[in-house]
Amino acid sequence: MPRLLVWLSRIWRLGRGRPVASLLLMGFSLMLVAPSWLPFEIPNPFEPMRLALYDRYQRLAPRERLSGPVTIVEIDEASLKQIGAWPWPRDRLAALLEAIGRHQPAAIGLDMFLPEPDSTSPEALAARLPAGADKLRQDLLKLPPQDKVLAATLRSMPYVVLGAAGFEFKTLATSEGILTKAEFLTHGGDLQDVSDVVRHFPYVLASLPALQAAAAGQALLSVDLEQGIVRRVPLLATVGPSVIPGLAAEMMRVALGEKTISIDMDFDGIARVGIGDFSIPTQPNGEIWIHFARRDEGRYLSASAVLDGSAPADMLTNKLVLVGLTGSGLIDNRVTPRGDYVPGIDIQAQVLESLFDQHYLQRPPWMQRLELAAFLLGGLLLIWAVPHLRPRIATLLASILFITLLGAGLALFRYANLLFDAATLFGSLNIIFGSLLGTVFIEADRDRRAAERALQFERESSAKLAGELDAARRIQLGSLPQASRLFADETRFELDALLEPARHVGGDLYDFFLLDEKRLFFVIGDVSGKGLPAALFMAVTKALAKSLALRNTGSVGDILQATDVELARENPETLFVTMVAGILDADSGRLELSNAGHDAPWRITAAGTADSLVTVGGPPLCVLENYPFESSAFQLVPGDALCLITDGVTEAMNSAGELYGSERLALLLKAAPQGAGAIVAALRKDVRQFVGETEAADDLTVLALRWNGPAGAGRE
Amino acid sequence: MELQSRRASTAIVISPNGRLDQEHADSFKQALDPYLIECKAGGAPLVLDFSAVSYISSVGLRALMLAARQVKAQGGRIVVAALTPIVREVFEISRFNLVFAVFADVDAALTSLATQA
Repeated sequence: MPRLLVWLSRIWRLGRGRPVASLLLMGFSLMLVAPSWLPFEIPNPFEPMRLALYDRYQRLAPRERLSGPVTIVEIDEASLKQIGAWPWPRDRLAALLEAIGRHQPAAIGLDMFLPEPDSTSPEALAARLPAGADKLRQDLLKLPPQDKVLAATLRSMPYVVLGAAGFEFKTLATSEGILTKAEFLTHGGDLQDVSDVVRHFPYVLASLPALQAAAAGQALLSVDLEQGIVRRVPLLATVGPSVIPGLAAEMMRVALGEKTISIDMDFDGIARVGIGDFSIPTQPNGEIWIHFARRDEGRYLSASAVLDGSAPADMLTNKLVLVGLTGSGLIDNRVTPRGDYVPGIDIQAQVLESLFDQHYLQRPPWMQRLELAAFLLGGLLLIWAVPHLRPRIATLLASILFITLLGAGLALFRYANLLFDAATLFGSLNIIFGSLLGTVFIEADRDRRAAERALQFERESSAKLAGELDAARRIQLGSLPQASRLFADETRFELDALLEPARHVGGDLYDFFLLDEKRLFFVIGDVSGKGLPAALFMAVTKALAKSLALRNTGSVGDILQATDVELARENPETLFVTMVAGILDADSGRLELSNAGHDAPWRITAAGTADSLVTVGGPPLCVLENYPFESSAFQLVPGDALCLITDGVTEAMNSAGELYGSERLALLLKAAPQGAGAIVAALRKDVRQFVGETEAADDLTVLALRWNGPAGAGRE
Repeated sequence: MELQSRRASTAIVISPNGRLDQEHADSFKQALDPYLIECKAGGAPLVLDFSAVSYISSVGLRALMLAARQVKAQGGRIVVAALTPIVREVFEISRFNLVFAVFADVDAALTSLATQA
């Protein structure tokens, strides 16, 4: 199972999620088009969302009522109290119809079923009388049957429409046919074509045949519920073999005094239903979508008020009058998309009203193609754009797309009464978007992990490098001699030196050693550049200078010249090194110095003067070929000290950008305490104080040498 | 680094500016290279006008040294002129006046080159 998941996830991520998203796009397109060659219909998983959005539209933009053509005469609690429990004797119903008829309504529709003979009719009572009551039986049989009374009433009022209910199954009261009063005239197809597309009920609950024959119209009352809510009603349907109009259509026909209902067919099915001057666009299956208006209590009139003559005439005259039950326990109430809880008859009233106002909600066949185009456009936009964008931007883009879709849906509903299925598009595009975004997230996650791994690797290698550099630093600093160890028993002179690399390793150098019993060789230098290249060159220079100094019997200038030649021989990076070297005769105090482009050494006397020693010499080593370095000679007196530095001292910089400089150095050296170690320590401390927190830019090297005299005479 | 250059009567005067240190020496050398290639025997000498160079480190000196070597190998001439006090001090300490002919100002350099040419 995990292997299957890994496999699926791999497919999903393929091509930045585009192939999977494109497959989804194709699948949803097939669902939207539902082509006839497809052997099955793809169920729309967004149906509940589609209905919910439709209901939301109904609430946001209810139908405005233009005229109030419909009155509902309700058999309510008050009527039941006055006349008695339902079902009423048929003569009472006839009386109610006649009471309405006195006000000359345009049509009357009965939202009720009269399938069985009246059980309170005289002949029915006579049949139930005990044996012996012959007189009473004969008297009863003289009276007219009440169904006949109603039939007579219906005949006298040629504008009453009876209701019937479609059934999927057979019951005791159902029949397989109905007497249709309307005649149909079809264009672009025949009645069979109509039967093929409209809602079909195999059985029907219809009125007594005598009543059917007497009535002016016969209509279907049934409506289908979608998730418990009525959203559309059939204008046409079939029961058994016959086509029958819905209540609203039949009442329009009767009210207009028309015999026929015309039906226009086109490629998709039924296009329009015509009644008199009215031409009503329908769905291909003969249904219409109901655009609900706000609930109106003003169109209700109690049957008791009609019967006792107290009903206002203007509510009935020339009105479409629906007669139905509203008393509790008698009927099923319905919920409208607007959330109103109304008697079923109110829905019929809404349909009649919108037909009369010629206000039709439409979903023409081309709407499906428009939706497909919008879907493909949106889907391709997402597939193209989302893999390019950061998740936040992609979500913003999708939100704009979705808001546009939903806004377009509402605008089409409100201003054009067109039903655009924004919800299904919203749902399908959302799944495509989610699929793409998921891939983006997975990719982002993989990138982040890869970056973390790279960072870890970098840390490890820099730690490794740092470890190697630390080792290099230990080797470099370890290669520098320690005066306290080397000259532990020396009394003629004292020497101290310091080298602090600015980085792990540096390009400065110092060295000192005895050439023989009395001659001390010392050197300080600075390789151009920094870091490892300078450090390697420094090591070479130091080793070369030492070996040449030990072999060479000439002056210190000769030693520099020899070093210069040897260094320049193998110097691929053309580095150079500045250097001051000297030889002190520890017995006589004679000093020999040669300077290769380096800062001049300082002489500090016991009297507290400090001067830089001007020496002959030349450019740095490896600058000019075979330069003849010369030496300068000086005579020290006991107590004289030398201080050699690199430019890490004079060019040390503080946070204000000022340089330490030679003047500051001269002042310090004048005031410095006696002794080589003391000079080095004082200089280091002063430079550190000057620099403060600023990072050292260059290596700092100091070498101090004090001559005490032939036998340590100058030493206290 | 951008180099100002102008053609004087007998030489090309190039005027770098700022600090020739670890940070800027490489770009200075790169900018200078095209001029160095042209500076050969019989060609116009180069005068480096250092009046706007505030500082030079050992890395800057190395760039100059390489320039001097290249020009010398090609048989050309390169001189420096108009050193600021700090740069003059560095030149004196490092004895780079042994590497380059140093003139007090550009005019002095041009005059000298004219008489030698």
